[in-house]
Amino acid sequence: MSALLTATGLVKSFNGMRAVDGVDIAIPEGRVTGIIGPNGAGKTTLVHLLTGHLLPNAGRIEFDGTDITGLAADARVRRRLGRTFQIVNIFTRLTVFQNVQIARITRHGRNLRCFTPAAGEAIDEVDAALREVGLWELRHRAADQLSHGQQRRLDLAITLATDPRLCFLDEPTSGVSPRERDQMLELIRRLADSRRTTFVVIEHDMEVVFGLCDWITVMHRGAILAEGARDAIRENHAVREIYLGEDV
Amino acid sequence: MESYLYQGLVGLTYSMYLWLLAAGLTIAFGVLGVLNFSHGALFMLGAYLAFTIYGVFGINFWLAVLISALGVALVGAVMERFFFRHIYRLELPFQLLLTYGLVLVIDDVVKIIWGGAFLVPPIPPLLDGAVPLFGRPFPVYNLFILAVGVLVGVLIWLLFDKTWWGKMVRAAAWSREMGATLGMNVPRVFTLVFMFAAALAALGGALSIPMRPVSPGLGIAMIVQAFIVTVIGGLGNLQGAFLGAIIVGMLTTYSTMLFPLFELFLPYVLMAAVLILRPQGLLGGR
Amino acid sequence: MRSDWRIVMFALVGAAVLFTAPLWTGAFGVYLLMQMMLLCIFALGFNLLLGYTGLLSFGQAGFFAVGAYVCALILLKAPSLLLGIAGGIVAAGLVALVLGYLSVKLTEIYFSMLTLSFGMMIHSLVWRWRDVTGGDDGLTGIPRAPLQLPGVSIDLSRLSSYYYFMLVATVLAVWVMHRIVRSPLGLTFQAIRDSAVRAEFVGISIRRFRLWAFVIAGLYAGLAGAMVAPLERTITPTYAHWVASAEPVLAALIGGLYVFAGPIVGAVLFIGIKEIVVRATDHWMLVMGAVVIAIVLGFRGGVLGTILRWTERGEEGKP
Repeated sequence: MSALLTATGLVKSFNGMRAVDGVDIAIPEGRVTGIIGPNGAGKTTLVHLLTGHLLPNAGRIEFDGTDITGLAADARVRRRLGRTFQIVNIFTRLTVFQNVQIARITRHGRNLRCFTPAAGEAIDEVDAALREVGLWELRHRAADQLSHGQQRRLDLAITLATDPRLCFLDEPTSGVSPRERDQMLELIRRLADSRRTTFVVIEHDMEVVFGLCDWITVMHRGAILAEGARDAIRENHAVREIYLGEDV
Repeated sequence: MESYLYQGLVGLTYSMYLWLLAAGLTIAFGVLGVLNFSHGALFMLGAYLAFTIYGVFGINFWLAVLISALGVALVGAVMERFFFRHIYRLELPFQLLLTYGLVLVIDDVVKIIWGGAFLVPPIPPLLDGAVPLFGRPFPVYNLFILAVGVLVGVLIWLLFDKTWWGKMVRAAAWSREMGATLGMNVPRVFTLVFMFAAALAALGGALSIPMRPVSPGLGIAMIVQAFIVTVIGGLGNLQGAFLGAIIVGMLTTYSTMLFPLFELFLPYVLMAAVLILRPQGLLGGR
Repeated sequence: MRSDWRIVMFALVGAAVLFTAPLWTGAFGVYLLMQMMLLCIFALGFNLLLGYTGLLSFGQAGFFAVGAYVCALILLKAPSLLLGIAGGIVAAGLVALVLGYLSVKLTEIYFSMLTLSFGMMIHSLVWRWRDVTGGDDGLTGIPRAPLQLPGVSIDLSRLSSYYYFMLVATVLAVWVMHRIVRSPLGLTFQAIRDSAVRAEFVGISIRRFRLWAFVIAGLYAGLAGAMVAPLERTITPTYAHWVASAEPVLAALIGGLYVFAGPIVGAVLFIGIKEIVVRATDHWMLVMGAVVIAIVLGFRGGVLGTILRWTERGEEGKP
């Protein structure tokens, strides 16, 4: 098991408060990793740092052996480090098809084509991506007309269309109905098994994480509390204390 | 040397008019989140109203200023209630476009009611006359304006920083939900705040009439400078607006004296420089 | 789709009207149509920035003026229309590249404020640089130079001849813009508009592409400006003022920001309404202001956007 993404000594402060306080993390390739922790533990800030949405005050990030600490977010995506968002973030006025298509166009580096119609770009690839998440029938619908659960799947499809080697899923089941949640989890499991993408799921729902992830990192107050295989973490006293409030 | 200091006082006086306008603009932006392009038109309305009440009807100047400020506050209430309220949730381009539409309407209404000529009323007798400063006679009225500007600054600071009401307004500005949970009638508070901001602008306009000609182009001339002031100081920052007003007022006045070719140019260069180097403004936070 | 043949019919009728205009309307009508075409080009470029990329620039008149003045200066020295217009376009594009590079670092209100200051700085420059630009007197006596193509020199001194030249240029400009907005580049712009963060996380360098949109808008403004110089034969600094920058904004808004033909329809309506209102009353600003307010409050899709919404409802049979 080799580490695809490593970070050492990551620090991020906001107005004197350290949201991420000296984090060392190594994300193994090929597994489904979970990052869990109570609200305010710093999970999302950590993801922002790793994906380039924010720059760290200190620390170093390496992706596939290359230092990406100062690299802009769009450059990281082009190096195949992707993410979805805690609050669904899609292209609202574009159709479902176009939402995924723009990711494919960018992946192929064809954004500067200005005289050929976009409608003909990467049709097969986009169709396949939409079928993968079950949104193909809605492909001509405007993205802002989808249900919340459908938008989450679209967010996932867009990110997958950037061909990430490593993909962060930030609270992928938040705000969806229980049935949609199970569908989403099944989808992620299926994608993890069939693709060569390493998924990192950020969640505060323990059930989701234990059902999905092989390798779990637990955060608490901006630092890593524990890191290990699923069963080990489940038995870990410190973790149980944080979540259940008592030592069982 | 002395003439530079004298010009400095002239510049500072102009700064105080800018400050009154920019203060209202900043409060409207800070609380309501709308950058009101028509705020300069409110300044102008204050000037025209005061001119009519004082210069035409001969009513006591101070009363005229007060009535004018209150009158424009009412106009502000109508603007907030019937127009701004619908655009809070819209994207920025639409907000700016609505306030621009209001500029067009108000400017033309002013032309319809008062005509297009320049109007100059007499100075109120109490403040007529001049004091010798730096070797030249400096109008007493200008000294009065300087005092008003500082006084208003202190009052606003006291209001928003020290009073319970001011703190509530700031809470509502931060988050409408927070305001509502604190028991505030947020829509009514917003209307009152905008009325206050409008009254400030009108106060500036009304007080300006003895020394500066009133014309339909006044609103537009002032608003762009007021924008520059707030950007330089930091959008939504009252102390920044004060500082920005001083900078822009002095800069404009000195460049009229020293580089007459560029007095139009320099404020824009300054705004561009601030936006490029420090977009949050000199005193702005984020 | 049923609406396709309607568009084609409309386009054919419109083309017939435009190509025969000098036959059935006098010089003033032709002049009016030319005003519409210029604003159409200006507004199309502007809307690439606003409707398609989400950037509101208050300084586009600056590039219009650069196009006008550079073309005028060229024509005063070397009377070749193509040279003048090409020069105007290129100059406007270069200025847009430099100013755009600085502007796209900012977003939202700061971008709008910075473009306002840049536009007014150009205005000030034009106003003060008497030796080159003639100051507030402007440049006069600009020749309507002949169109020099290989082997033939076409005289455009008659208004109707210049009208046809402008018509061809406008049709080309519209066609090119249509290709751009339907292309991957156009889709990239729209993605940036809808969610700049998401565009970034799809791998798009938003700064770089915003700059492209800005430069294209500048080129279009420059084309419109360059064509105004030989038309009016006199140009003044007012072309660079922010009030002039408001015209493409209003045209695009009235026609519809999110429809391709919006700026085209908006340009026609804007000029048309202005002409009608100016004859009926002195207070055309009041009318225009009321129109803008009404649109922002109730018809944000503009004329075309609102019509399209109604016809869509009619076709689907449900709201």
